[in-house]
Amino acid sequence: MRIVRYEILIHAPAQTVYHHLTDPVALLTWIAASAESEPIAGGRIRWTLPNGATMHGRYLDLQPPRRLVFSYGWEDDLMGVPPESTLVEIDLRTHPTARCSP
Amino acid sequence: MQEGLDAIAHPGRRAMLTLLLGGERSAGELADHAGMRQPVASQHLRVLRDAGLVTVRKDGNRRLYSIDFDTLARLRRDLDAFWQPHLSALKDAVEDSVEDTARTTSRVGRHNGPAEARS
Repeated sequence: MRIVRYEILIHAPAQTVYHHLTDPVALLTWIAASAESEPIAGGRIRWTLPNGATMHGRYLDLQPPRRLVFSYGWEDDLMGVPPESTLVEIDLRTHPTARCSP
Repeated sequence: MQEGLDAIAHPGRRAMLTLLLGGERSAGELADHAGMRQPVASQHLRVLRDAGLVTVRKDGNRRLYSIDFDTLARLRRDLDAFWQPHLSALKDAVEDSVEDTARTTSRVGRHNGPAEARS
């Protein structure tokens, strides 16, 4: 069962978005105060938010720059979602009105 | 929020909720749908009730469950409150980086990679 689905429009090439989602340094620019990321299948992903909450999971499917799937959850039993207990799937699609590709 | 997320973190409980989206069901139907024995299913239904996600009424000797859409909507709002600001931050960070790259590229006549070069 998919619990929630969000869609946003970003004016950038898919490669740039993918980079921000998987690169440990780029993660610091939008979500994490510290981050580890090993974007290979089975690789570890771990973000600590500015408020100290730490998420961690594993990459399960990576198809750069179009798709990434990782397991997800919070350390210390925050929000009732333990590490690797849930799944995040991200698909990057080119908007029909995009001026350039990808 | 924690109780609600806890409740939906379990795949069997999510299966039950999915079935209940179609309307009221008995405990037996919910157990079958979730692939659980009745006593196990009862424990899971208890978790859903405690989280306020389902309500129960007695009909003779049957217990009929239904979804509480208000609680579900509240949980949805809580999840939105968590995800929406992060997604906005992602959009801003990515778009800022594209602008920075475009500026750098035009100023010094170089580009940082094929993806940015196209932007």
